[in-house]
Amino acid sequence: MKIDITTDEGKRIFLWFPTSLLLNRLTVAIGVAYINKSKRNYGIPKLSYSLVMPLVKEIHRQRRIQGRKWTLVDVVSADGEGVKIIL
Amino acid sequence: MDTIGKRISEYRKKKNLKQDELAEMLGVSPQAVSKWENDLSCPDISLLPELSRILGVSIDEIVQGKKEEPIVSVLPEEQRKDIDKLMLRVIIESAGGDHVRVNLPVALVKVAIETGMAMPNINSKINDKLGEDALSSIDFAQILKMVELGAIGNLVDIESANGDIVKVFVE
Repeated sequence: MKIDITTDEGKRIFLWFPTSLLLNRLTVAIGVAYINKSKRNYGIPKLSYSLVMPLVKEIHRQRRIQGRKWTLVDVVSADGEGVKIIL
Repeated sequence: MDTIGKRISEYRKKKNLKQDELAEMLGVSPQAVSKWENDLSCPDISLLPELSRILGVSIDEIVQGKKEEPIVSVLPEEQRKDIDKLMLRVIIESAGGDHVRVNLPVALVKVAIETGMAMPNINSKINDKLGEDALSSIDFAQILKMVELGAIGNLVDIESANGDIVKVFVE
């Protein structure tokens, strides 16, 4: 997973994480527990491990299909800040 | 070279109309139609909407020869792509200048819907800026059904009064 952050001052931060390190059974379990316990629900309905895990598996499958050029999210604000997530 | 006159002549013939019949329908003389088709003059701009209606083509097609691509196409079963190769693109452009693009493989959306997961607001902050739950009111299950029936293209296109744009298209 590549995360490309551009600040409004033009600075660029490029982070690279192995996707399987971020999206695996353990991180899903921790993430689900954190989101469910968090007082802020981020607009996300109640999650469960069994609900999220098929999605994670599908994300890994899609990464293989899309050939690592899959830009999941690309956000650019009016003042020039941007975040791009490439899986 | 393809000219406006040649296109008018071609479309008129396709409609099995004679020059004088077209002239009568438009309220002009047959000589005027003949001049258009021989590129000696051009139809008045005020006649173009009626001309396009009679000939059954868009004004762009008459003037520029461009065929309008359909915004949404429904493909027959043999031409449909594998669902793994389809991408659902969500584009949000706020009036304030923020841009959000989310690319979701249709297969991933399908899994999310099948597992009973409600599609979360892709970006609740953007929704706050839009001042409404623009994304949460989009029924992704219905979009998926349309895609399974062969619909591709710009399936959702919303423009709010204050200039915010939300588009969902499948390609």
